[in-house]
Amino acid sequence: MNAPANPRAHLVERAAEMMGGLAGGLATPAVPLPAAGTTSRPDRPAQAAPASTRAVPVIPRATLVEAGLIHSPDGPLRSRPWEEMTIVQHQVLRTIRDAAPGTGPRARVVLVTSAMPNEGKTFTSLNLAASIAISGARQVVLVDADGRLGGISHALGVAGALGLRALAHDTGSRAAAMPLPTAIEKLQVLPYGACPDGQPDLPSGATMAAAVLRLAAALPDTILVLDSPPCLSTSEPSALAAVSGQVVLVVSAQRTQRNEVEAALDMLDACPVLQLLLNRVQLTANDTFGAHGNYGAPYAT
Amino acid sequence: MQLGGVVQRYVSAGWGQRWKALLVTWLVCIFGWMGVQLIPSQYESSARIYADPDAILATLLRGIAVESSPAGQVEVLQRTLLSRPNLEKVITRTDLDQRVSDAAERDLLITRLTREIRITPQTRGLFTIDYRDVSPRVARDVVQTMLTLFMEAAVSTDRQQMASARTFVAQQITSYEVQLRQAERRRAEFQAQYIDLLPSVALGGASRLEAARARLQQVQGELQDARMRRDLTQQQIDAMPTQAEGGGGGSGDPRVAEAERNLRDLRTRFTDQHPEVTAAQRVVAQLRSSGGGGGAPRAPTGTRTTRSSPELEQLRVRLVDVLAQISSLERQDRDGRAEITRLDAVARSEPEIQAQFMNLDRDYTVLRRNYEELLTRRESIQIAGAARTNSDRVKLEVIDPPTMPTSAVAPNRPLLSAGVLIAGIGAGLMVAILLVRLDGAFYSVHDLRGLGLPVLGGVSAPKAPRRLAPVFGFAGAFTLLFAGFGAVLAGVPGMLFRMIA
Repeated sequence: MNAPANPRAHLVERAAEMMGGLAGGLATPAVPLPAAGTTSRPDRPAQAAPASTRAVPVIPRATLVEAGLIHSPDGPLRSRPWEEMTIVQHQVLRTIRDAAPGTGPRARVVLVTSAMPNEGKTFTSLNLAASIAISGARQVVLVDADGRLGGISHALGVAGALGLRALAHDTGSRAAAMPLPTAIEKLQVLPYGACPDGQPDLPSGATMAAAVLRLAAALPDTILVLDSPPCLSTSEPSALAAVSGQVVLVVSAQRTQRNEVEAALDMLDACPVLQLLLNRVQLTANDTFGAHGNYGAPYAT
Repeated sequence: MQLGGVVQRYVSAGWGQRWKALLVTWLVCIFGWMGVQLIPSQYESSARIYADPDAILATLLRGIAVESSPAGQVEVLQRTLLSRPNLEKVITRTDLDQRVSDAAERDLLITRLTREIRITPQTRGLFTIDYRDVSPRVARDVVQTMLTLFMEAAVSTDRQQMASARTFVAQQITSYEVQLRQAERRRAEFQAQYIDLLPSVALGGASRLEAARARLQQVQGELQDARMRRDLTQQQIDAMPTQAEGGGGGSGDPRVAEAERNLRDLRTRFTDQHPEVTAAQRVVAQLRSSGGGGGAPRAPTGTRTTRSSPELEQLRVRLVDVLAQISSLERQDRDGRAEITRLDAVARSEPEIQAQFMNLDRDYTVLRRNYEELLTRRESIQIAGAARTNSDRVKLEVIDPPTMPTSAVAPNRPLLSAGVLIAGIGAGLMVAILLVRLDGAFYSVHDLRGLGLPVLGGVSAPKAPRRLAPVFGFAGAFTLLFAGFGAVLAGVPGMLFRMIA
């Protein structure tokens, strides 16, 4: 599965960069993708049609940066938040690697959530997924389990595409084909998705959890980073926690109260590995990472 | 976490609470300054008076009665002056009357006055009377009234003391009189009882026994003398006969010789025809003629008469005298001895008499001396009383009359305002610290680790550009606080109050 997905994303990314560079708009022509799709996967014509209807969803890097990605090639090679995020990524990967053998696909599911809204879940999940993808360790799918207006799907301009919701309702859909490629090679995005006709607006937590599990099973060796709604506002995180290998609870520094964090942790009890991440750290003590100035990037030659 | 980290955390978190803290500071300051302005001003009036602390009793009864100290007098004065009737007088005489409506308030006012009217001795005899009130006029009036009352009280107590001194002395005199009479009577009775043993003035201070002894001694001496004289006379008489026979023929009748000597004297002064001379001649003739006749009666004793000369006769007479004297002295001696024996017996039977009498006498003497002293004192009181009525003005003098105070003495508004400012800032700081302490937010990864779960790390917030607007805003609001303080010091609120009123 991995092999065919890779060249496609590569092609798409390159095409998107070309288009973006030339036209400066998102209006990417539908022609190259079916061509590419048909050339790379001539054995699956039935699937080519839905893929082509997804309107060439190669998400350009500029959009990712606009959505909150802190690493860009024209920026500094080392920035403090990015270094910090890299450290977080290392630990997440270590947890996945050290997972018990019988855990199955669930071990590759990373649930990013928080107690309150607006603590930086989307920022964390996007950057965490990008960090893993850029480091090249694994294939990453960033799953939008939130679907809120202004969430990651909206920010990346893919709100209208089929996504997690469709996957939850239509158990027969092909999960592996749903994630959209981005400008970053190993990073794909699964939007929340538009509401399919005749279905209730909100899928239940259980169905969503089942969809995630299905996705994880369909994409082996791929890490799913779930961007979920806040714990103390919605019920999804507690359902999703049950199918997650680890939870990263984002805590906004100087804002979220201890009791709120504790309450959120209670909600996430179903996941065996609960981890905390302090976001928006303003205070720099000499015992914190990155307190000793910008180390500087290696010279590029 | 290190101390620096803690401080950093507090500063950073406190900075987040700065507006709340500043709000609290402003509120505390505004209400505090209003409160300070609303504290009524206190005006103090004071008067200084000089009062002679030598009260009358002290001068008069010095040595007899216990002397009262000036401090004690001040206390007495203070107590009497701040008594309830006096304070009632003060209330009715000043405007304080209008402030009370019922008895309870009046009671409260009186207790307040007792506490707040201060009478303090400065030096000897110099007192100040102070009173503070919200109204300068009332303060002055109260002090003035107190002054008047003080004068009245001082004069009246002086007079009372004079009268009491007089009655005291009179009582003492009467009692001493009675005691003196009794002592006198006891002494007299005792004296009469033991008259023999007690020294008497008649005997020159010696007792009768001593006198008797002395007399006996004298009598015995005299007796001895008389006996010696008798022996001497007897010896002379015994030696006489031989000498008398030799010298007896030449002389003749002594009477004739006498008469002749008399005649010779007369003749030197008068002629022979003088009647006295003739009379003397006649006597001489008569005596010469009677010389034979005169010798006739002596004829029977002729042998002896021829030996008895006038000297012998004289000696014999003297011997008889001495013998009579001896017998008299011997009788006296006997009497004296008997007397002494008797007195000795009496004295031996009553050995304490002398001591008892001494006691009685001493008592009497002391009583009499005191009595006499009291009599002189009574006189001096009368003189002093006469002088006192004229010297009252000297004893009490107002040095500083009470003035109408123009500026308030309390409260110290600048100090209180500064205190309010400090309290306000302190309250703000406290609020900030309290909010930081109550804040359960996480400031560092270290805080987060306190939850006991693995912490993946922290992601720094993107460096926000250093914006000076909030700093300047806060600094401005804080400086405004000091500006407000300056306005309070400058008296702006007072002016506002006056404008409103």
